[in-house]
Amino acid sequence: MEKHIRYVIDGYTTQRVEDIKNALKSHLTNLDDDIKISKEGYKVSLSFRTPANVRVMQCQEIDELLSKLGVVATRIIVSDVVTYEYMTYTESNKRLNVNLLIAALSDGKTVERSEGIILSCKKRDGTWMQI
Amino acid sequence: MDANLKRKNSEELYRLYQEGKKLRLSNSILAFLLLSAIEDASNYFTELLLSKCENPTLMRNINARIYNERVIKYELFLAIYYVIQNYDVETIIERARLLSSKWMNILNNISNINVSDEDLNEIQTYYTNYAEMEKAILKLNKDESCQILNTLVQM
Repeated sequence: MEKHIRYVIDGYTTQRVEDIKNALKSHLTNLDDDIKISKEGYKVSLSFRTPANVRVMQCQEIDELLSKLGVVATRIIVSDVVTYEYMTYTESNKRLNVNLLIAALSDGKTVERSEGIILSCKKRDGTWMQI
Repeated sequence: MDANLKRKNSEELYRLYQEGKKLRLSNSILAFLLLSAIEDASNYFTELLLSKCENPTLMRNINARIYNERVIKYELFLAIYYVIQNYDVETIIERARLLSSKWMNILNNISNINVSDEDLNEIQTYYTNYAEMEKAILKLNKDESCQILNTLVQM
């Protein structure tokens, strides 16, 4: 089981997804390859993770970093996550198999389960507020 | 938001679909009603999870991130459906993704798309398993509900 800190950020940008990804990698050297960026129109969502033993970046700090990449952040969610290999097993009773559901929603054989939000904030009138 | 209201909305939309079928409305209008019923069923399931988890931070973030994302609502609904059927994880991911994008395509082109009888029946089949899905979610405990929501908020 591995532990990470995952950052999920919503915002706006006029930049290309590939350019943001490359710039992000060069600014944050402790990221692994698990970087997801989706863009629709100018709306963008970024998701990346650092090892668990690295200091958690604060909202203002993340905002400043992203503005260098041409991303205007509007919402930031930081969570502790654990990854593990999904093991197939069948449940006999009619209870919902939560492990299987989480594996399916988190998109793969290696499951990433969130242990909870450690920081979440939103930009309101130019300042970051914890929510 | 109120879970019962979402549930009622979903059931009303399904009732409208059934009425519409009797009135021989076009398949695209019927598909719109069914897909809206599924969307509200998914909202209802999320509300149930939120009421079990009782975490205000998660609630605010779910409300802000998920409520405008139809595709995530469909993926959640379909994933729950397939998990109950005990499909393997790869199949669930593949099917949920394929079908939710098919449904999004129907909704995005509702005024100029011909929805076939097969497609309509397929959507209906998923909706009619709603009660079983509801029962499974009602049995979840607080920790399990929070775990699912924590995954959802990062989608």
